[in-house]
Amino acid sequence: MTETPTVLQPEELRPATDLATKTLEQLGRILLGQTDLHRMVLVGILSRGHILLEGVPGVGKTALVKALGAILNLPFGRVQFTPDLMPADIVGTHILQQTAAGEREMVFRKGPVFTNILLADEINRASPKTQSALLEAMQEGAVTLLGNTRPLPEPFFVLASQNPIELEGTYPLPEAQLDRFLLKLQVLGAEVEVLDEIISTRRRGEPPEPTWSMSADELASLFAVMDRMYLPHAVSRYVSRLVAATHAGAAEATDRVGAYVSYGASPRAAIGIAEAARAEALLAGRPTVGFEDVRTVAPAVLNHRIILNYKARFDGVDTVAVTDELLDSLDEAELDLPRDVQVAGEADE
Amino acid sequence: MTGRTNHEGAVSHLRVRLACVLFLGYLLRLLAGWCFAWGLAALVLRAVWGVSSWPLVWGLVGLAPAVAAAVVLAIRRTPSRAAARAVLDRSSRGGGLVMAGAEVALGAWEAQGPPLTEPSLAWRSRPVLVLTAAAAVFLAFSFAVPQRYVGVAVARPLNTEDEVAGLREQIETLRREEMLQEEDARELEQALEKAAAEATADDPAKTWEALDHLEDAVTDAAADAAEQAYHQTEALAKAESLAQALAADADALDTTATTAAMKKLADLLDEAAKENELLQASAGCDAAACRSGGLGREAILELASRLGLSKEAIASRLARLVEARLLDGEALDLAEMLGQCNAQGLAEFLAAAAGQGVPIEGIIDEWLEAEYGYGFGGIDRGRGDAPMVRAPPASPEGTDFLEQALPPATVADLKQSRLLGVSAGAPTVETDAEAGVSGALEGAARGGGSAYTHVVLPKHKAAVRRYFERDATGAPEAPAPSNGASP
Repeated sequence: MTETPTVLQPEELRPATDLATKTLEQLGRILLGQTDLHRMVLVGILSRGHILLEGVPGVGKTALVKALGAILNLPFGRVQFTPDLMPADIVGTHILQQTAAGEREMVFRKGPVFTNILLADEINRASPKTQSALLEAMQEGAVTLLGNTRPLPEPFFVLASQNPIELEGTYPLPEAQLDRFLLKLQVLGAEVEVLDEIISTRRRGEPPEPTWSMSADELASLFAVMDRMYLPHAVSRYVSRLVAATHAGAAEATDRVGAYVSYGASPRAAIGIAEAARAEALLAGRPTVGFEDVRTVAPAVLNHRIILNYKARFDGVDTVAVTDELLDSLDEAELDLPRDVQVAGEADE
Repeated sequence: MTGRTNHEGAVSHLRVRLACVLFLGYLLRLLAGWCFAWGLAALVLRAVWGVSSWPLVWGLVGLAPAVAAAVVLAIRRTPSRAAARAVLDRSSRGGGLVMAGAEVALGAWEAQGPPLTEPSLAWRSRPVLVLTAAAAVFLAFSFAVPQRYVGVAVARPLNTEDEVAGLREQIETLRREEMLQEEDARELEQALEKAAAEATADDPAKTWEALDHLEDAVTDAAADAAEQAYHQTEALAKAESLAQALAADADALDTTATTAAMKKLADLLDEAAKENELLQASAGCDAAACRSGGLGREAILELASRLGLSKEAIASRLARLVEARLLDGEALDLAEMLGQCNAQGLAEFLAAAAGQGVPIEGIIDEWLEAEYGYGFGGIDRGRGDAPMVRAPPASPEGTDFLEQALPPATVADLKQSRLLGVSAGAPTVETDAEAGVSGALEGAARGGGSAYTHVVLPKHKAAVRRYFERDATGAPEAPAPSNGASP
């Protein structure tokens, strides 16, 4: 006799939710006025995804990553990407070293990628060759050099930042690498009250140290809870329809998608949305994923995976507008009712 | 406790609500479509085949399939239970708990989950209601509009070929016989073609009325022509009678009377030539010759012969009209009767009147008037307005009543008779009738059939003879030109 599967019970879910809440509280205490950003970053971490932070200099991207590493109590590495940065500077290299016996041998020296949290600062300043050095690490969690594959420590996160306003001397990230980032988050400037609090309470803007950090077991328990978050069939179908609708010519694609999208999101986007929605549900204290979780995380997952054509640039249409329209037009419940019959809460067509 | 039974009632209730709204929407659409189709069919049926409105009410049975189709469509379009559960989850902000309840066990979450909130349904019913109302109005219009306003699409044919062909032939006959002016004949033909082209069974009275009007016009033309032919025939007959009478017994008249008679003949020729184109060429010469007294007996006979030929020509034309059914057969009989020439009677009349000092022109006029003017035969000398003819007066000599003794049996019969009535009709002649006798008188000589004998004047004898000379059917025999005008 098989047992009916059961969702996480409240007593099982509550510790994980508390841990996530504490993490957010610590982030909010260290970095002021970025609550939504902190929540999405934590969503990315819980989903074991990589995050691309886009924002002007000085908005706290590096400080966020540092604080996250301190809270999660994970080793943290930082690489400042420059045009002359080489792949070996990231993944490591073999050096000729003389042993005690006087023999010489090639010894592998690990690069900064061998850490749990890697901050790739201003990643678009490095050449595509160097940027590509992270492809295997981000996808496989390993580095292969001279035929030897070396796994990276678990968990492994890449939190990259890029400056959207400097085009000179920058190299746009290739689509393959963009697709490996689970989320692309916009880091916005602080409001007046936040700025006032920063300069009035912090000497030279130095953030305070976290008062609490997560242990490795707690982090492992969080990931274990994430694995048990339940994704209902209707939600998974909604995610699939949403990703499929990003392709021009799809049955449920909007007119704007048909007009402006050259390439839609990959299946990796669907996986990312599902994982991020699970994390969002966990943060909300629910054992199951709802439509609203998907709607919350979908823009951050999709906006860097949808490739627009030149007409979109001419018409001033960006991926955020395309994604928002998709979310508004797609009926989550797939009721397929006549146009004159509407259910309250149904997306207006 | 599993979550599979959780929220089932709410899901079912939501599905029923959605099904009802869908059914109503489909039903109204189908009704609108059916009303339009039904109304259109009704208009077509009424316009093309003239079907009345009441049989079309059977279209009401089409409502049943519409309702059934609406039910089927609504059931097919009703969201699945999973979709309805997803809607409930969304409206209740269940965060997937309601949806997961159908797939996995919720455990403690069933009690801690958010309360279910059924979503409200919005149906934009105005367009379909307006459409349905418009369809209903159209349907009512298609039934209520009077038949005369819809019977315009296709005209039903009306077979008038025989009538039109007959009229066309009659017009052509009248034109050929020059009894109808060319312009009038063309107008009649155009009217006939128009009536034939516009002939429709939707309004047959109009067509028949038009054809009747044309037939009346043609018949009137034929009747006019026949009347003219009668006059011509009568005029020719008068002239022919006088000519033949003069040729037959020219010696009975003295020179003065002959000259007067010839002048009268000339007048009759002129009158006959007025309406007879055939005679117009020669009548002038003949009349002049008559007036000058230059016509001999042979010439007069030849003139009479020509007059007879003219009568025959007129009779032939009338025969063609009869053949074209423009006149009935009596027209020929009448023409023949009018054209009869009683030269012998006129000759006798002239001979009887000669030497009595009466102007010969008057004698001839009186005879012609009596012969051709008022009626034809009978004992009354014509119609009621016929003048009394008194000359020459009859002699009373020998006209006293002859007393005769009736046989006793006849007197007894009369005494024993009873008057049953008085009849204006002719007495029945019983040729073998005989009075009953008995006793000593049996075997005695039989008397006549009447108590009195009446002396009939000579001029009445002919009429009395004709009266009693009836044929087997009781109709009088052909009237004799002489109606007892003998002296």
